[in-house]
Amino acid sequence: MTVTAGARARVRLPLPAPPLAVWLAAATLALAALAALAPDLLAGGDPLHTDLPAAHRPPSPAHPLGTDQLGRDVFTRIVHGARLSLLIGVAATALAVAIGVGLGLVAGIGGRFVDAVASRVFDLLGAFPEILLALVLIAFTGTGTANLVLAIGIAAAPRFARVMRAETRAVRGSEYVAQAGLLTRSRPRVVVRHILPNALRSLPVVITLGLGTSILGAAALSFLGFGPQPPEPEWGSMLAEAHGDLRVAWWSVAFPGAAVTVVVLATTVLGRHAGHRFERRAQP
Amino acid sequence: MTLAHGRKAATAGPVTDARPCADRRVPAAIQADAAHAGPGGDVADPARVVSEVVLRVRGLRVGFRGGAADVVDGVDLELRRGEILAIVGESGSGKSVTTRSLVGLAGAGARVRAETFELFGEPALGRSERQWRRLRGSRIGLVFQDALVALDPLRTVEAEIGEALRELPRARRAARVEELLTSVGIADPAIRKRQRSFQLSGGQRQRALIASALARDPDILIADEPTTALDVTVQAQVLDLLVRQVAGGRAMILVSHDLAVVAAVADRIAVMRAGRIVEQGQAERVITDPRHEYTRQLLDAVPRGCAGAGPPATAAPILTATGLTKSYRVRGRSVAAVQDVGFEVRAGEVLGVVGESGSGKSTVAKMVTGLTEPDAGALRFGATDLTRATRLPGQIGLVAQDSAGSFDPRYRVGEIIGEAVALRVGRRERRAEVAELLRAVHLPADCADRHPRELSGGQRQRVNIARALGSAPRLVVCDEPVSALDISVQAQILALIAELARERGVGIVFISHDLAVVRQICHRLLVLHRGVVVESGPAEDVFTAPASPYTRALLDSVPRLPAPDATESDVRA
Repeated sequence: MTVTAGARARVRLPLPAPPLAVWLAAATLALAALAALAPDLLAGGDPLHTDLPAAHRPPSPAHPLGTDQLGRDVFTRIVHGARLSLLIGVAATALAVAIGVGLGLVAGIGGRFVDAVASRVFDLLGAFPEILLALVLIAFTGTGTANLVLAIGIAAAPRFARVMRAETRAVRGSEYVAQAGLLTRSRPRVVVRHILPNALRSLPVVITLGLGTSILGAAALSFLGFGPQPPEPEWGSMLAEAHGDLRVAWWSVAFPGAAVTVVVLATTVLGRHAGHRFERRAQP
Repeated sequence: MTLAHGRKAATAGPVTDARPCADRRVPAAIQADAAHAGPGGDVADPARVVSEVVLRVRGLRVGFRGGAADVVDGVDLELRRGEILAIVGESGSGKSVTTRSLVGLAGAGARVRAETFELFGEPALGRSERQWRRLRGSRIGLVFQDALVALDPLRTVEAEIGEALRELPRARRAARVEELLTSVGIADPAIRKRQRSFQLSGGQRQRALIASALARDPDILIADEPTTALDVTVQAQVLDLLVRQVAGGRAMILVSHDLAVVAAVADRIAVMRAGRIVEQGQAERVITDPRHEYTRQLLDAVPRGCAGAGPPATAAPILTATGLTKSYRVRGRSVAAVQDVGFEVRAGEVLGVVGESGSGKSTVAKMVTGLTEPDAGALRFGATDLTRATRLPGQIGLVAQDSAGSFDPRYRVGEIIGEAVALRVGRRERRAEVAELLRAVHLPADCADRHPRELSGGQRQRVNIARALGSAPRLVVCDEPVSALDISVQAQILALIAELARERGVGIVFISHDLAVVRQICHRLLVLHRGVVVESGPAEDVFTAPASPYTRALLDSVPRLPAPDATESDVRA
């Protein structure tokens, strides 16, 4: 009485094609990534080249997005600035994920006491707005790109830790972890082989959403002068340098600001879409 | 049934008064039934009204958008006043889609077609959602399986039932709700009506749901697996309650996967398979003299018969439990889940642990598998003391009810079984060993590369068993291993488990709420009630001569199929 396999195999319905906004978001991020990796492909000029006589020129064929107060080409600076802005955002998110996953996992698999202590720490850190927490950390560490990454990374960590803790708890209580426990004496083995990989499954969604927040945070702190120092091109510091000239040269403020907005929007759109897909996939 | 007549006469008044004028003919029907039931009626021709067809459908077809074939493929049904029509079939047979289509609930994306489809003598195809809703509210009552989902957890029972009674003045509504709750056998209706669905027990919830379905005194009651989620003793009570509603000219469609449940109450049975009715007829005839091959298969799959004596009681036990006690803290209070439970399991023996929900049988399973530590008592496994939740990797296997949830979602079948096999064979032999195990549970070898979610429930449960055997354990705990399966699949899995005990000499602790299943497979029995062993001994003795009143009550509640014709079974055998 051999049972034929797949006689009733469940057919997985294809997911609907992503909407246009998602394609646009993906294209935007791809473009930003290209600017970060190979800025010379998009803008061949020197972002540091000053040309004082040509200061505050409005957008023109020679300077498509105009020039700033030192006559530097805004378009070139935005393209070259993508590297630092995105680098800080990505590095900070990576740091936040590393801290968050570690702590969340410990809280999730730890006993009641460990969980209670870790969770209260997350609550405490989570009670402050991320930007404020990062500012406090910078007050201790000082300014600079590395410190900015550290500050934003630590400030964003509680969010990932909470998600990770909840996922770990859910997976830990599942039937298959109980089954794995029957087959091995080694608890770490169950954690590494079953709990960690399954708890990580929902993380890409949170990471994508967190990336946007980190990029925005990086730009905000640079704007306040805590990040890369001039004349280094960075979207936040470009805004800071130019914001006094808003009345005479709106373009030197508006375009770097638009760059931040568009990239953050794109990560949010993509993150939400990934979340929807994940939920659909998680359905039985 | 006569009992319900009296109640009906008492309760019909206010409801029929509340009906819109268009529905005035219903009281006449009720009077007609009174006439039918006994002297005192004044309708001239009761027989005509009583046998009135309330629902007639010919060639019903239902298809879904994106689906190639029709899910319901040409169904003919007729429902008359005062009768219970049962629709029986396994999962995917189309029984639920059929019934839902009959009340306009097939859902968005469904295409419902029929040659004829009449409700209360009027064509029902092409009704608007609005018309359907009015009909469902007043003339058709619905009872679904999961009352916890069907009732709004934020609203009280009174609000839930009162919803259907909006046409009554507020002052009379409360009294009517209490009346309805009393009529469905809920004690203390004045207290219960202020509670919410999660505060009620499963049986009370189902009763409340039935009360809300009856609130407007519908002519048709549709119950889709109304007792499937209930304990057997509660199931018997709820079935009895439903049957009593049919008296007085009401008609009922009862949808179920369980032939035994249906056989006890239905007037007519329609057996469905793959969207078609393969057999339809008087209940007794269908059960005792099935004409269609599939009906016969279903009846044969119903567990009956017994497992016999098993290994001799003198053989050394592989597992000995004495005085197991476990309590949990619930909101600061200590609640005993299991008290002073003792038993033995021998090699090749199947020990049944039976009880209703909350009896502590799952706690026993957890203690034996080392997932929970007993508060007191001793658990010996061969020469090892298991009492302190000692892990013996691979020595005790577990087969759980939810086969899908017991697999790591990232793993393929080969990896799942391989993980267990890895405990005793090296990497190189693993593949061959997995193939061997797949063969032992009658699955094709190519299953190893599949994902569990691509398999059917029965196939998944086979994988589950193969994994439990993978580490060559001496004891396997089966926790409700067949409760989620269709009856024909259930029969196959039971045969497989019995085979393992017999041929591999594995000791099996078989935990189940289903007495018929237990009787078929278990050699010895342990009956649990509220955490205490009320009866234990050889299975046959417990079934034929139960010593405790609880066991007797449990046995009496089991819906039973009438014994098939002697000649018929001889022919089949």
